[in-house]
Amino acid sequence: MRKFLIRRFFYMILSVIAATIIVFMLSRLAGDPRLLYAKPGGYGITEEQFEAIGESLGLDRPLIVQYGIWLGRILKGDLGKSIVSERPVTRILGEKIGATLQLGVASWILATIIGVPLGVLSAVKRGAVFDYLGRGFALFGQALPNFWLAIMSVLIFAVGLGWLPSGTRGLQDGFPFSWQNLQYFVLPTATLAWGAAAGYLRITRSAMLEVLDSEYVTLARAKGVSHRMVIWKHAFRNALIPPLTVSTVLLTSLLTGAVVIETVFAWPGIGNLAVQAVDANDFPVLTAVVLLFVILWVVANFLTDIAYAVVDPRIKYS
Amino acid sequence: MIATSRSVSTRKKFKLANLSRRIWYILRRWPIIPGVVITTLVLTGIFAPLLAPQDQFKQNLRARNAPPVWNTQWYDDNPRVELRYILGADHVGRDILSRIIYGARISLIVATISLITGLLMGVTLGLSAGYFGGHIEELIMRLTDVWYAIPFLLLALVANIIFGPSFGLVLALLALSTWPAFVRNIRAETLSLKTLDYVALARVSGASNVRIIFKHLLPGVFNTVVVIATLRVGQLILAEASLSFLGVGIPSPTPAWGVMIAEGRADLRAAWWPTVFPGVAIFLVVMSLNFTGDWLRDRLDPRLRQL
Repeated sequence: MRKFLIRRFFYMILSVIAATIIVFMLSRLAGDPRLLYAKPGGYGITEEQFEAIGESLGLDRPLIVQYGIWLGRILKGDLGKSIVSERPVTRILGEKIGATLQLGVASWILATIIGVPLGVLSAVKRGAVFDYLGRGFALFGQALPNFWLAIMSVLIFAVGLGWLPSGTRGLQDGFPFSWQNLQYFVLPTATLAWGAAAGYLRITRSAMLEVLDSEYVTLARAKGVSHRMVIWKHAFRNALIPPLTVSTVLLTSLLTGAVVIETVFAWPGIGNLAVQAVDANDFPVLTAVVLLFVILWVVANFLTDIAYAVVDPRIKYS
Repeated sequence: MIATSRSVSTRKKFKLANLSRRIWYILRRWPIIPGVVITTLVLTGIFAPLLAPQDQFKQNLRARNAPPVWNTQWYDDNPRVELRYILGADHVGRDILSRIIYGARISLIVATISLITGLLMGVTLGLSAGYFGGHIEELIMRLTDVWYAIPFLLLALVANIIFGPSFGLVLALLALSTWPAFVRNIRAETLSLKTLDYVALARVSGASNVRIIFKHLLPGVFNTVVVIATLRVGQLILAEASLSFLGVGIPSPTPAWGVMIAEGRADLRAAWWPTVFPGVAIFLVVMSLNFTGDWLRDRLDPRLRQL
């Protein structure tokens, strides 16, 4: 077990390093990074300034040294300055990450409390109306493009019915759970959560079906355990393993998926920031966002593997 | 006389109920409706120039945001708009139906090329990893792990800053996002296949590694490849639409469905049709592909249920 943990940890570090190399190489592939600061034709910047930028970026050294310098700065928490606002990227990220985390975690919770119970119901009532409804819900969730779903929800609930705000996060002052603040969360959270809930539902359903077919459940039934006890005590606890283990991955995919949803709802988070950075060619900001997500993603995958090994003793640590 | 006629009519009724039950049975057993949708997509894509009622790029500012044809009131009020736009026109008066039809062609091309590229890469790597084992396997599997760790959408954003949005870039990105899905499953499959006697016999009789891989192992993993490929296509189409919607996919004015939704969004309050119809098209196609994929998986390879 310990060997397995060390091995996985080592690969996690390796993944992060590989990702930084890819990001770094991409940033150098873009051509002379100094051109990002200079206007087309070199207008508005003198030769000396141009060279000074080059020196501050370490462009006169070999590529591997440049990578070392770049990595060293990142490790010190210096992600550079935004080209557009000339403010430190770390500060910009710090301002935006709260909104993204709120949205991601809210959708995560919503997806879990909808997807897992529906999956159990769908498996227990296999072939009945509930099963068809549940699977229909999953099929829709995985086939509807979430940006389109988001726009449709705005069209219906904001433009048509006028029940909910069509975007932004509102002012978020006063009591945090008042309707005044919460109403801004309804549409983004629901549209983001649907796909994830569909994933939960499918995984829970297939795990539950597998467990219900197993011998110990038949034995429990045979010795006269009540139906409810069989489902919730014997079957559900074991069927919970797969959805539990994918939940970390789902959370990170929700955070990435937030890029699209945040764009639709003008949500002031990281995803929105990334898309705006693309429009403005703001490379340092985008690099920072990508690195942040890669690290999140790798750590989540690591935790998932650990969770799998801890929860399910049948997994071999090889 | 009366008695017989009554019995005939009940028998007819009975037959009718039987028939509808049979149709329902067939619809549940076979993916008829998804099949029709996918066939329609393929045919529309191939014959787009013949099917499209209008030029996909032709603008008509008089018909700006013209509603779908069933809103006859609008067309009566605007007699100078001579054409009737079946699904309406967008913010510069382009025919939405024609653009959706050409958009089908784009989705088809993007999905096919990126899927085949990713499939070839993934299957080759998966077979090699499973067959050769050792360092090659270790290298390939670690590469797959690392690649999994990179959030695809953000990679697309970075690539767009560097290379600028283009059709080729979308293809490359989607192909690069597809191959890892094949590697893991194909490798697992190959691991069990290569221990079988017929592979050992092939080796004894002097078959080369390449021959064993492509002649003896590839047919064995074929079902898995088909199932994963069908399940992936829908996701590829969704991914392409998301990229195009964010403005980092297929560049406007090409009528990719995602682009159409993004363009229609600005005028959402004035006109819902430029946004709604392309979305419905994406939804129908992806839903049909997913449905067919599930069906194929249950038929060919139920062990892949976790996918």
